[in-house]
Amino acid sequence: MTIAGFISKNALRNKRRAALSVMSVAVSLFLFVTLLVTMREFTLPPEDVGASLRIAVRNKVSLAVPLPARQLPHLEKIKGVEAVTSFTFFGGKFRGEDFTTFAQFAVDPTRFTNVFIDVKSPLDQLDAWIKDRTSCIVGKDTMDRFNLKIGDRMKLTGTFYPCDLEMKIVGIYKGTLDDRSVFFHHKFLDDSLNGNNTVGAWWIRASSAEEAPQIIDRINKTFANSSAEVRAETERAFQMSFVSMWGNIKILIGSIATVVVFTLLLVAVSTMSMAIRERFRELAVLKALGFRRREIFSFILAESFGLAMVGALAGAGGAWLFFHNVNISKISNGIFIYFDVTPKIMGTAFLVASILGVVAAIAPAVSVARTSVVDGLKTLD
Amino acid sequence: MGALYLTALSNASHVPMFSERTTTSFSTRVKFIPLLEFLAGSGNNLAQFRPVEKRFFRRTAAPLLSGIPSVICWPRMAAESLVTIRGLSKLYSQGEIQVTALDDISLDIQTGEFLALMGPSGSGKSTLLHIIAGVDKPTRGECRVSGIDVARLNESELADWRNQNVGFVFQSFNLIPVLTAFENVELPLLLTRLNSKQRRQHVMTALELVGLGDRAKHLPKQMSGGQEQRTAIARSLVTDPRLIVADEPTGNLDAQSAQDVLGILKSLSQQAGKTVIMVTHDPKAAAYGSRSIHLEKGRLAE
Repeated sequence: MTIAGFISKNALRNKRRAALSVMSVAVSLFLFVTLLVTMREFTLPPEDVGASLRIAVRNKVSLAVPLPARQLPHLEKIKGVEAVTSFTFFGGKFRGEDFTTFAQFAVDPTRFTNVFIDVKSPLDQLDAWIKDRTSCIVGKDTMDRFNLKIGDRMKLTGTFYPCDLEMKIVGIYKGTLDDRSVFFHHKFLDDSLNGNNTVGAWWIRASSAEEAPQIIDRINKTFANSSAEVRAETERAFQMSFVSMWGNIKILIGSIATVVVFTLLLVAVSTMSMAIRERFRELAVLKALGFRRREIFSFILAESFGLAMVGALAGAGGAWLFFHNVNISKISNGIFIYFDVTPKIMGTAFLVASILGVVAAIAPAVSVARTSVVDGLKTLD
Repeated sequence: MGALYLTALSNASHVPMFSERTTTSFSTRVKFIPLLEFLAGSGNNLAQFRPVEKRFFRRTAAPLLSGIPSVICWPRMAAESLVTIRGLSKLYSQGEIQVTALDDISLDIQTGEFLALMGPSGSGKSTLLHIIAGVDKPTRGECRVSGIDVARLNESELADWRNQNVGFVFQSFNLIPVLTAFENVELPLLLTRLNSKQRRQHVMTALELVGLGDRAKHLPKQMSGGQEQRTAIARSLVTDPRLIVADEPTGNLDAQSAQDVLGILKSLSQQAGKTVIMVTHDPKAAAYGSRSIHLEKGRLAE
């Protein structure tokens, strides 16, 4: 018999309890990993090359308040601004869906590819799009999802704009972080609204990422004290503020994750305490036989740690396998695109499990250490 | 050292399995008495096979005595007294009330003696046993075992000392239920530097000594009470301690099993030179001892 064998026999002496302990850790860590992945998905910054150059300009009051179209020439004159396009979120529903499952933006097609340099689309399709103001280009993911093909008609039902749009698909694009959106002519939206001299936002490509802070400052100053003051920020900052419109989702998910871990900790401590309390007498016998306090502590720690790690393997490993093999984008109707269980998230889950294993062992181990052999031997089985 | 054990075992198989001197009422005893006789008769005793080198968590491979400050080591008793107790008292506090468990006890226990500690409940006999075995500390006085003032050892030193010098036999056996008889006996050896082969030799020798060689793979729940207690005795023997302490070892056994267990303890004392201290209420059990002492209200009664 080895020490490891002795520890594992102790850990598995009550197989049902051991299995339930492992399962409680596994289920909790599965949930914990899911929450971490969700939080990452919500707060994932755009990391493509183009995103580092892009600046979003919106109304200083609110994203919901539009900006006047007349700001365009002023923006183009600002030093460091390479290209500008209007960028208005339409938010239409497609094919009778209950809510918007992919974004649609009204843009200026002639300027669009100068701002979104990572968009990959055949030139003839881009040309066709520029020439036809009732046409659109659609991301490859959406084309695949709805089995669309070039030449098909796409009818979008307006949700907050009082109009519906019916467009012809003339191009497919890919190459961006989110190849689901639809881009169409801003003029088409303006026409559909019977003349509209506003845009939702401006999207700008800066001359260099290093110069972006200065450019942002210049943009903000240009429209300061005007009737439509703007707030310029990097695309990443814009995304983060957009997420914050949902409420502070990071704190919310973080709080839930913390509660999960804390509950798990209570369960683990309770289970370990019960397991050790049942063996008080045996542990006193081990002491009498010559095992030192720290050796007994090591046994308890190893047992607790082992159970926690098996739970982590099952929970975090299970989450990795599940999210790796299941199309979350499809299940979530495209709300989540990647849902990657990253090595960092796996590491966090295993770290939590390790801490859990150690903390759960402390109280029973201290209790055993404090109990004398004589008192331990008096404990009833 | 392990080889001697093996030799003992192999020789034991040639020793007549039954002799008039070792006639007992239980079948197993005949298997270990000749082995003990062999060990005693050959001038060897189990002390020669002491697994003194420690491993696993142990910091030192040196014998324990070398690590103990010389100031608390007495010269070896001239009269071969293994345990020397002088003016020993033990007081317990129960709230504001002080209970005297032991009151000024002085006692010598010789090497190889089988001492029965008797007395009514609450007389302090178990407390005395615990102090001698190093699991409890006296309030006053001294308890020296092999010249070592046990009360002055710290927790870790005491643990080492117990592992090497004391074998425990409890009333309720206290075997680990998830371990087989073999693994239970092997437990104290996990603290030594013996390799698995050497441990196996020691464990099987100890199990053979108590007549349970064929029960090595049995779990405690698969054995009778008597067999469990014999396994516990094997566990107490396996590190070859000088001292075996038994707290009501027959308290949970039927008459036949009790007789078997007492026979083993007596043989260990008489033929292997072990010092056995046994707490008992039972005068019949005490009769197996070479000496009985009575405690009453924490004092020695004549």
